[in-house]
Amino acid sequence: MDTKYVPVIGLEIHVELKTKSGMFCQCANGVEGAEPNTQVCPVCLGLPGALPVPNKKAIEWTIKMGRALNCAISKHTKFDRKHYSYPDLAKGYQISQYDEPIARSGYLEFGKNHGTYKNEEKKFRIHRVHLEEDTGKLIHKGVETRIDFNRSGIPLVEIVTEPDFTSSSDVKMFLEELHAIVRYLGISDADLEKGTMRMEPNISVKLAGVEGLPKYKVEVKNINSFNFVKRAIDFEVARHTELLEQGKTPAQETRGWDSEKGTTYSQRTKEDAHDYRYFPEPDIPPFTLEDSYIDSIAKTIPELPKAKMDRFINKLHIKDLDAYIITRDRELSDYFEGVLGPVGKQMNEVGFEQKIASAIINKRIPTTISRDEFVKKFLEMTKPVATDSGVLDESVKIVLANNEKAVAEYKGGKSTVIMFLVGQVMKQMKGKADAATVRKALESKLI
Amino acid sequence: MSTKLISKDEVLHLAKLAGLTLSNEEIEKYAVQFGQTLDYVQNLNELNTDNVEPTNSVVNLSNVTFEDGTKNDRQFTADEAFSNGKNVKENAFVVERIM
Amino acid sequence: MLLGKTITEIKGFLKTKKITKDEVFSFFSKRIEKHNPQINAYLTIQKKTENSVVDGALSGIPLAIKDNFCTKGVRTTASAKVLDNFIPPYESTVTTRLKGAGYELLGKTNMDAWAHGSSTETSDYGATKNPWDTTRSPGGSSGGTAAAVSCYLAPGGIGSETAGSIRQPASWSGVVGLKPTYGRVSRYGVIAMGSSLDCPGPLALSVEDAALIFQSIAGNDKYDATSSPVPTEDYLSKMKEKKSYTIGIAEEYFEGLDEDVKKSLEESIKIFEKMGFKTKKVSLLSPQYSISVYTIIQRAEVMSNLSRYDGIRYGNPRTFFGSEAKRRGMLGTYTLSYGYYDAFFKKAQKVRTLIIEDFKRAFKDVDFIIGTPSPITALKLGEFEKYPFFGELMDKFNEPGAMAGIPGISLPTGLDRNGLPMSIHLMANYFRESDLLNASYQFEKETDFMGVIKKGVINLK
Repeated sequence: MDTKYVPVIGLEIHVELKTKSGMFCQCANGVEGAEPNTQVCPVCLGLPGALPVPNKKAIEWTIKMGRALNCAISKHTKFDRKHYSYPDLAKGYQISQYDEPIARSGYLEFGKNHGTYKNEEKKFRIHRVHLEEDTGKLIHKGVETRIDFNRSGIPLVEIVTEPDFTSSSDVKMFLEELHAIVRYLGISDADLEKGTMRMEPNISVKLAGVEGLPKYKVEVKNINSFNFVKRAIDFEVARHTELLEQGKTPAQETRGWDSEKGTTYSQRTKEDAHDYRYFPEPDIPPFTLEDSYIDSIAKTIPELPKAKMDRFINKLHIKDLDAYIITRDRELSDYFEGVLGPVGKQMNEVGFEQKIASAIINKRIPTTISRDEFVKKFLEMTKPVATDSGVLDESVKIVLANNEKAVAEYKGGKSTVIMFLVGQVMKQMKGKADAATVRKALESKLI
Repeated sequence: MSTKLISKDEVLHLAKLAGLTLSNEEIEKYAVQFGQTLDYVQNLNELNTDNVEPTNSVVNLSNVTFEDGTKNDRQFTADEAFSNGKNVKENAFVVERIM
Repeated sequence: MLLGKTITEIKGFLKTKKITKDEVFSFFSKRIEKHNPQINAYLTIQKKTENSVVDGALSGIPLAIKDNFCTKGVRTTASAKVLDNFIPPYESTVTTRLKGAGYELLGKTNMDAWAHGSSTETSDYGATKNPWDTTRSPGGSSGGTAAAVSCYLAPGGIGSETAGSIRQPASWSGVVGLKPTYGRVSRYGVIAMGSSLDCPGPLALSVEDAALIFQSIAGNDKYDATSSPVPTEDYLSKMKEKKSYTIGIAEEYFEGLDEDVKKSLEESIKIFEKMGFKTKKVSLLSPQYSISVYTIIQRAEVMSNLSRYDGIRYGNPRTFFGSEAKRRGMLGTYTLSYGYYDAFFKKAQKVRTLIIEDFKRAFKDVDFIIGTPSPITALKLGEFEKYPFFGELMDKFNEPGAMAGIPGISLPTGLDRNGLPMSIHLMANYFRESDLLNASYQFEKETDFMGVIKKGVINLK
């Protein structure tokens, strides 16, 4: 019996915005090394009588995030109360968004062989992007749990995808791209270790070819690296598959990832699907987002990682992988482009951009120095080494004579062998030669 | 119209959701009162609201926000933050271990 | 000498230095010491004056503040044992503004616990007694403030209304009570009951006093997103202009009235006509629908607003909740529950729209709608137990206006056959408090209602 099970995965990502103030109060956001419960006020501590007033920038940045994910921005949006009881939830409800989120129906597209991945062209849909407030932090110590409310009320963007993912490597690829996008937008540090970006896959498994979604899903929490996401999914898929093959259905629940054991463990049943008793937040008037306002925010979105990567590949002729690596970081990309101009003025070589890219990626020149210094160092480094043509001819003769096999391979069509031969000549000449010149000389002798 | 019957189980479920503890007497009393109240509010079905939008707020306001980075005039000192906490240790509120 | 004097009159004495603010404070302190054990209007009593603002509109004037207003450093309980030992580390906007105007805090007054009620009997600290007949309720939920003002344990005070909680106790206790437009006065620092409904407002011995207090507290607040940016007016000046209005009479608001109350309402209408006001028949949705809308929406908001009391950052555990809080919390949970939202909460919100439209229509033709804040006069203590949604039934004439968020003022008219105070109320369109105060000020001059109030004041010497 050939039963094939395929994973069905959806993602829930939370991004803590790095606004200066809280979501509903003026408490400072992200104060380094703050003592617990020192960045609190009546509002975020949930005192009786306190009222929320929304942070304008948080809303703008959520719109920005939505547009960067190709979402439609809602004309009418509002906040809702989501009720559940937990010690880190000061008001006993979280102010979030229920049926009128700020952004909806977006997507992210990936070209074939995106970066380090070997994939087909793919598109993953975004279900919604909404804005809410973060909870306090719990620290478990002995028989007690300690609560720090500094984080309570900090703006949190929630991104929910459609269950479009069928492999853990797709998930990893997507999350890494999303991470880069968030950082490009400058709205969050998106630090996985610090928890300013949190990822929760919802995993189930179904028989290939069967329509519709499986009747259960398992949410996995406590994952703080992209590698762990992949491993957790792989673990779960295997676990579910085994259960299904035995005729059992995995329990609908929340599980935690144990990075040391490389396994998941049961946390609480999602069955109690918390009756959140949502209703519109009466303390906050609703929002009408005009097109002109949304457009003005969209205009502040910089060229995003994929667009920049494609441009580097197509316009600057950078190697796919190099373009991917450089564009992971916006600052690095900007630095790279910043040196292109000055170098280009002084260097008339085709493909100099790739040379710069290689120099950066191989760390031959640091990017911590100023742009001008970099340009100087780069030109210095790529100055053609004076090549004595006499010595060159001699060396080429020697190398070709001693490497009959390689010569034969080259003539047989394996053109990459030339690099080996160049290396041999360089060795023979004790480095006192320009690689490009050596190569030309070899090629002319190998015809 | 007969009084809508709310079962004892339903009352208990609601109490659990609402985080309330009820005595047996209260459970019985509320089950009956609940039913009476629910009966009364059925009168709303006499009104046609097919093309009516719900009112979430009577204020004619929208887009009320504050500017990010506004000075915080309400920040608590440690004393103030903890002044009403019953169990406070090393700058944190303390409860029985959860997980 | 001070007994029964209005705030306006006391201000006069202070200005001409006939009396000092400490003497004023001490006068009330002594009365409170003597009578509060019986009346139980106050839960927390201040010992001395503290305000250094000398030229404010309320400088030297002590006021009673309902115990759901957070007063920094002064115990605030909302008459609930859950908050038995809660001392707010921050101040409500209303009391901040009163402080800015120079007032003195006399004490925090009793209320129905969490404001859930219309008789002050559901207080976790015992009922407040009606000074007119101490076997009866002063009304609620602002019963403590109403009773205090009624028997001159304070010359004025602050209450809050969700649907009737200022006007109904004002009516049962024989004082003036103003419920402003929702959003006119900031809710920041008011322990929330019905977030889309709560309105802080004054209770006083005269319309001018009510206007004076109102002037100090009204206006936009950046800490309350629902507070209105509509500019406030010079209410005291506008109150004294010679104006004439049209009063709407809806027969729906005459149903089920006690016969004395009905007679008082009819007589009041005649008085307005004699004053040159016009009257006009209007037709309004029956208040019975508002009862349902209010019951559903308010209880849902109540359930939600009680969620924060987990005993961790403040207060006692949830096991300390009284039965009324539990009862309302339960129904609120039900109507918001998965599966019931559309049938109950959403439906109620839709009918709320109908109610708002209804008033909009009516106010095209009239300036005010007249009625009574209560169909009856003060009930005997203990009566409320009989009803599953007592509060909501008692306030049926206040609920439509409350659902729409429009303002209303309660004015004493006289005493019924049992010597208990009766009142009428006027409701107006949004932000027309100056008109309400104007008409009321004129009515006060035409009638003996100050006489009624004075009689109350001398109930307790």
